[in-house]
Amino acid sequence: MAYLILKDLLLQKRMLLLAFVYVLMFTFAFQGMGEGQLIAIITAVGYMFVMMGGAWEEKNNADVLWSSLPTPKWKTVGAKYLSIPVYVAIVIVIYWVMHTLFSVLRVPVRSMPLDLVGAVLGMTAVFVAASLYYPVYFALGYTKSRYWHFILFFGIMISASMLPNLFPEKPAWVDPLLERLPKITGDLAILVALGVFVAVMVGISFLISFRLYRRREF
Amino acid sequence: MGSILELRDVVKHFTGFTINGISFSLEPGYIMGFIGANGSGKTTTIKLIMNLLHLDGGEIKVFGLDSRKYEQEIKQRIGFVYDENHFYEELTIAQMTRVVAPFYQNWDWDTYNHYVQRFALPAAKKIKTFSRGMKMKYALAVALAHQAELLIMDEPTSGLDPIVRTELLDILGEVIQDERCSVLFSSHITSDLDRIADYVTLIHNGSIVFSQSKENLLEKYSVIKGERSLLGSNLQPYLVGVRENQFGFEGLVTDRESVARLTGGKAILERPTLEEIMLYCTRGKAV
Repeated sequence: MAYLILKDLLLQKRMLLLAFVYVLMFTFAFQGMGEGQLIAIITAVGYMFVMMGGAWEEKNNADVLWSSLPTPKWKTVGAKYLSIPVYVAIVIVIYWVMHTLFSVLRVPVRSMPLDLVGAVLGMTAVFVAASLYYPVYFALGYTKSRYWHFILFFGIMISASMLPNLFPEKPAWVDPLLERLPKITGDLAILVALGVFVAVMVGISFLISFRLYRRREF
Repeated sequence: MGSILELRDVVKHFTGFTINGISFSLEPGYIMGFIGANGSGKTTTIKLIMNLLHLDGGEIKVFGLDSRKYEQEIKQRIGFVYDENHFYEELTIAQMTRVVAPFYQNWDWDTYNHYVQRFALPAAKKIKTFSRGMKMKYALAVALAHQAELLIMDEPTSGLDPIVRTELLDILGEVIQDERCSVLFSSHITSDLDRIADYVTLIHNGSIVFSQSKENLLEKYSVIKGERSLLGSNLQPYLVGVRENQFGFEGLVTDRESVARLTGGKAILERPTLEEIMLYCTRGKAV
């Protein structure tokens, strides 16, 4: 499966350069988001890597290749999910490089410093978005799934930007709901809870993707 | 040893087209030409063999194994060359091979390098810069590098110039010399198969018209040319297909000796090409 991830990385070489441009653009665009800036940038650019990975497959009609090689379909599907943390790691490195450049060159833009919680939340968001996208992608292919992609991508972006306007004050149902949930305290516990949430979501998404991909014809 | 490839009553339905319970088999060490007009079902059949399409009925056995149950084991022993390139055009062949080779247990780098050198394929150039012939040669190098026992080739020569086509056919001739490898070669360019095929299977409108040795076919059928008046004789039972023109008629007949007797030397009887056999067998007497 490592070679499938390697293939994804080789194909994304051109996207690496673009990622610098996107991080630059989004840093300016999201500078009013405060601490959410890092999460938003990792989510947006990380998700773009996910999308581009699908686009390369479709452009080369690669499903025919992978279905003709002695590669079980679960590996083809699984490699896409395993590429996600690799993509996010790349975005984090690019973000760090750009943030350092902004500081050194005194670029007049507000760029939040890199921190673990922001990075983890960003990765969580990419996993969640990809988990919603991949089952449709594996069922229909890149071209046919792009409408779903647009709804998902802009839905996430618009919802995220509208949340403060929709809920200027904490809604009354939040506290009673939180009281019913098990108490989670401490950064480590929060990370573990997030990890479990992501693992369950990715696991369910993978199983659906695998079942749908197995039924597809090429 | 049993058949290396066996299709039995294979059915696949599409809107407006059906693979209609087809059966044929290929023995080890032979090249089978799989011929038919465009849209006759060649590529669909190959996709069914490769499990790119799901069967609606029948069964396919490769190396005596069920092609669905033992898909991975079978694909370890199959090499494929399709009519279109399916390798990533943005990668060089060195990168592409680095990705593909680990999936094959019997991958042999010496064999691969031998063919890459023989085909003069530039390892550092992106696949998108390759000509159609070079892409096909690369696909063939990959197919041969893992010691495939069955090569599945879907229209590999279409769009290639005569020099590259000849080169490909020569290599196929070499490959089957050790009688370990078999080839299923789909093509509508029947002159290629005239040269190399041992067996020929003709598919038309999703049904198999015949599947037999090329020599038998060339013995069985003859091209007949003569005056129209001969068509009025008792020739009809022997006629597979006929085409009339202003000078007379031309057609395909069975049983050369009986026809020669019947026409009393007034008709010319010639050995047919596969193209003529395909043409008359699929279009029938209404040509």
